[in-house]
Formats: sequence, structure tokens, C-alpha cells
Amino acid sequence: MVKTFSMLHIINKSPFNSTVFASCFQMAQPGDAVLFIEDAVVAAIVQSSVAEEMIAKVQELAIYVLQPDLTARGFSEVLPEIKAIDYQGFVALTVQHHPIQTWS
Amino acid sequence: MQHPVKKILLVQRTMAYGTSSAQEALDVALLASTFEQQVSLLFVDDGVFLLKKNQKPEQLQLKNFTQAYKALTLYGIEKIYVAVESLQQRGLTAADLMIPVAVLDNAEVAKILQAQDAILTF
Amino acid sequence: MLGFIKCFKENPPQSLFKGGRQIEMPAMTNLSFSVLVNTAPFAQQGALSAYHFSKAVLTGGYKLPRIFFYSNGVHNANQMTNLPEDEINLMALWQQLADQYGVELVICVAAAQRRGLDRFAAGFKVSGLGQLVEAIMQTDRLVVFN
Repeated sequence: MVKTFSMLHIINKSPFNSTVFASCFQMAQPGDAVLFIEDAVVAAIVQSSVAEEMIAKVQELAIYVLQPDLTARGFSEVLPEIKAIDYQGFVALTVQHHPIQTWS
Repeated sequence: MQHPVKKILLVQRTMAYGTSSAQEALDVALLASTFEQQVSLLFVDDGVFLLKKNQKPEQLQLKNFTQAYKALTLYGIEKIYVAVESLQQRGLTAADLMIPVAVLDNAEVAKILQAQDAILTF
Repeated sequence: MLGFIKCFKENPPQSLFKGGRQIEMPAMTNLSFSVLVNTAPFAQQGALSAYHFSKAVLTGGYKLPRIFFYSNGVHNANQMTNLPEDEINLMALWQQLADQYGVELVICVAAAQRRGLDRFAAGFKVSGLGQLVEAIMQTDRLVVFN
């Protein structure tokens, strides 16, 4: 079975304290998926200084955020353009996308 | 069961000496090439500093592991990529680097990433 | 929870995305994974994320034959780890995962020696980088946790 895949980028550092977001977005191609985990999940919160950039990126990239990490950090609400998923959803993303790059 | 040759890319985003990531990544690259896998290296962001000519870590008692980059082709690692924007941001050009490399723009780097079977970062 | 897995089993898409590349793939249900852990427990969250991800891979019915611990990840196997009772014992969780699912937990000996580790917890196998490369060669997906 031949399938067509786009990549999955996983980011685990805060957008406020790190430059990985810029690096990742420069290298991501339209159609790629991006998942925020660990400290990166704060990129998905409503009304931060990076919210506008995230909303713009959703035009080209499928953006996801790991809900358990948000809950751990005291957040339940995310930008509506970003899909909150659990670990089963994380696994599903790694099944559907290839290859997978971790940005730390 | 036959296992195909995998395309394995090691992405270097940090420079040497401040942290050990690059040295440990290089060990993986060299080892993987002995398994006859298709190993490539990508130097991006601060990773471009790894290839700078004239490094002298010995006077700090640090091992100059970056000398091994000069031996990559002996290990069959020929695909060595450097992101041009990362060089430019750091005031460097390909002439500052210790080995010949393929200098790529972001779009070309994106294509390289997509073509891999496994991407390792540290 | 998004029903990705169920959706894909019932409706395999011909082409989901623009761009991307075509590769031969086994049926989704036979997909195999390798996990690489490069950071120490407690000091960073990477190892914990790797554990939760690995558990979800295995409970999802996918194959995960080997988890490889490299760089600071070797600390996950430190037998001398001594945690307060109210703190998560990730080392014990790794051991339980290995016991329950048969996944191999492999520590890179060179990285361990550099860090002065020589007492390894039960359930972890001490070996070399070759095991990481073999895992990559033999599985469909590599996920790295830093």
C-alpha cells in the first residue's frame, strides 16, 4: 500500500523563552502537522502575544496541542483554531505523519 | 525479513562546547553509517558554528571532536547540509566552514526533512 | 478524543495532504515504533512524556519493541534513584511497562559511563548505539523525546 505523508513537528519549549518556534515554522511545509507538548503548550492559550501568529500559521499547518500538559499548567481553554488532543491522539498523529521531528 | 536502508538525518541546532549534544549526535551518525544506512547531517541555527574553521578547544582541556567532521566522507556520509539563513544570521559564509557542504535555503531544507525515514535531534 | 485510528481503519485516505511523499507502508495496524529518550527524569519532562507516549502506543495495539536511552536519558536507569514517596517514580513505571508489554529498555553504555553511572536498575539492558540504529532500521516510526 503506497501512502502520501506529510511531516509531524513536535515542539516542547515555550514560545516566550525559546526560538524553536521560529526555526520550526521556517522549515515546516504547508500540510505538515505541528504538535505542542510540555512547555510549548502555552503557545495555544488565548490572548497571548503569540496567539495571532499561531492563528495565521493554522492557514497552512495542522496545529495540535497536548491537553494533559495544558491541564498540568492550569489551562483548559485554547485558541479555537488549535485542536487539543490526548496521548492517544498523539499516537494517531505519529501514525498518520512521517517523518517526525522533535524541536527542542 | 529484509530491512531496507533507512534515510537517517541528524539535525544539529546547537553549537559545541556549551553542551554535549553535538558530540553525542556525531557518535550516532558515525555508528549508523557503519550499519550502511543512508546518513545525512543538517546544520541549522547555532549548529552552523560546529563547522567553523579554526576551533581551538584544547586550550580549555576540551576534546576537539569537531575534527571528526573532516572524516565524514570516509564514513560514507556525503550529504552534509547547512541552512544559509542560519549562516547569514551569524555573519558566516561557506568559506568559514572546515568542510565542503551543501548550502540550502529553507524550502530546500524542508524537502530534505520530508524525505527522511528517521530524524534525530538531541 | 479524536477517533483518528478508527477513522483510518475504516476509510483509508488516498491522499490526505498536498505535497508529502509516497512510500510503501504496512497496514496501519502493523505499524511499529521506536522511542529515543535523551533527557533525565525529574530534571526535564521529556522522559515522562516518552513514557506516556510509549504506553499509549502499546495500549493502542501498535508494536514498540525497544525504547533507547541515550545522552542524559541514561539517568532513567539509575539504580540509586531515591525519590520521596509522593513523587512519581518514573524508573518503576518504565520497569512496569517492560514487564507488562515486553518492550526492551536499552541504555547506551558509553553515555552512561561518561555520566558515572554504573548501577543500573533491573529491567534495563545496557548495550551500545548499535541497538538504536537497529531499532530504527526495523521499525516504521522513530519518535525522539528531549
